[in-house]
Amino acid sequence: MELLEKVVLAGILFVGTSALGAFEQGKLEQGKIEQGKTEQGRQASKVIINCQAADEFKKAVEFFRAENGISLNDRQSFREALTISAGCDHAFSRFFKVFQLLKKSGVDLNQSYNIALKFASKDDAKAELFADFFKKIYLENYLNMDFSTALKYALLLSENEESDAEKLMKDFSQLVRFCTSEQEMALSLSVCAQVALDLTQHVQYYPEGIFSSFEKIYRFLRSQKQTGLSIPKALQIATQILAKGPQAPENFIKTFQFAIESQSLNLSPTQALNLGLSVAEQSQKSQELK
Amino acid sequence: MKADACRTLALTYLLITGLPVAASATAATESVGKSMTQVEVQWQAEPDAESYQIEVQTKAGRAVKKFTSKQALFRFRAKPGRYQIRAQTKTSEGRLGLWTDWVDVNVPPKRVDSQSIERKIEAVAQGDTLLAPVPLAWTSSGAATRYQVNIIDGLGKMVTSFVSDKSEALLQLPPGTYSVEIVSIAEDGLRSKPTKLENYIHIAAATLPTPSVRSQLDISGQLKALDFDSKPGLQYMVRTEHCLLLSDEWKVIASQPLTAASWSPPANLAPGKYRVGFWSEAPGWQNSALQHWEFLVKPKLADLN
Repeated sequence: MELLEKVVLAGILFVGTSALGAFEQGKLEQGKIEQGKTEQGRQASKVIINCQAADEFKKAVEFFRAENGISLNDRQSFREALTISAGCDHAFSRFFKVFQLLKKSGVDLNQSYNIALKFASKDDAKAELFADFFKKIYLENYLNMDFSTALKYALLLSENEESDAEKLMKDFSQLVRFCTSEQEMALSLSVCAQVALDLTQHVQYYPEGIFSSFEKIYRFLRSQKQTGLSIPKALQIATQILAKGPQAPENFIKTFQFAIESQSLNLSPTQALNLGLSVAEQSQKSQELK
Repeated sequence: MKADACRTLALTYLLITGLPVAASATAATESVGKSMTQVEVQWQAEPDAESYQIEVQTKAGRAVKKFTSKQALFRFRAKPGRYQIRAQTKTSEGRLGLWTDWVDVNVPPKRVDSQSIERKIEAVAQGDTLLAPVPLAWTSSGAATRYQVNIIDGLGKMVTSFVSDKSEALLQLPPGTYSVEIVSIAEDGLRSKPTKLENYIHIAAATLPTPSVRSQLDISGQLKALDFDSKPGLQYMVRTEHCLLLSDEWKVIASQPLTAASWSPPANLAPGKYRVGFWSEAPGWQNSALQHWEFLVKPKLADLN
């Protein structure tokens, strides 16, 4: 069988103006291969990858013959195997890793297959991230979320631009625990998982992780009795600030305190809050590479 | 055949009501009036006999009456009790034959009139006792001082048998169809024929009450077994179903009767969703409402690596 060659036009990925935008752009279509880690302002190039597709195809066909739970005739299994081998090198390994993980977790085989198939066309890191996130979100000794929530967030987190999976998972876990803690925010697990996911979209800006910055700005907002911010409002503003990078919390706090002090601007709490947000918005600036 | 004063009549009688046949005489009893029974005595006619003398006395020897009959058949009315009868021939010359031996004649009390009892009894068993109260009443029968009541189930098995000194009784019966037999008993112990009421009582099969669960099944964290209050006569059942994640196809993996008032799921269940159904059942009853518990079995980290 001839080797498949894939031409990837990764295009130009700009990260920085919108972390969510980068997240969306980071999703590669099936059959395409991401070329290294994109960095701010760096232009990706057109790359040709040589694939040992025959090996991937053979492994896939053998898998379909051995896996009794998935009943496919030869023609169907060839077609499915071709879909897997289109993922280029290690495609079967990625597929199989995710399939086995879900199967051993008690997931319906057809559903396991459909989910695992998506990872055949992604890179190894994403399959690893998914497997790691799924275990740590789902299993009892970790976050112990229900299956659907764990699957959803493992899939979403595996798409995160942050390459340091340990850091990402640590942030996600700490955010969920802080958010659900009775002594802190006491919000529901589903709300907290979404909050943690939203915040971890910006984690690549925070070399030490985003949780400590979140905790700092959240506690500051809640401690300002003049503003009287509720938990949801404080959470919303904290998220808004953190999206502007690691300098944003400091910029916000400094501006707020400067604005509200009677010896300085002596603004009302609401005015001070809005001014702080405006300055925090200026915590990042995109710059053209020369 | 000439009349012979020394000759003894062959006095025979039969109780056509079904009481034991005496060896040498025939007597028939037939209820007449409210408390009197007609007794018919027969014997083999003697050609030379112009008439027959009959004597009736109580079992205790107290004379009741003397009769003369022209035929070898004689009827008299008697209250229920134990009697003795004897007879002798009398020729046209007035010569008397020998008395026969005393023959015992038992006149039983009248049996209960089945028409006096309600046509059918329909009842529904109660959930708390699993029994239905069944009031049974009948018209008292003449000289009867007691009644034996037999309750027989649909398989012909005696369920209960008791003696009541009243013409009523309150039964407690589980669901099913029952026949009733009532036998009148006179003071001296004589018993009437039974009054049989076939398929007289029908107790509807009601739904069993929902079992009282003391401790809900909970496998999150520390396992808490399903504990319930067990009632005698009930069978408690547990059905375990398994469903793979992202699927709605439940498969029964076990359905078993419980031998204790507690149940825990087996260890080492495969990962997936589980649904446990719990109910009680008993013959003749509709199963209690199903109680459900669902739980998720997650894999261990070591199983996924």
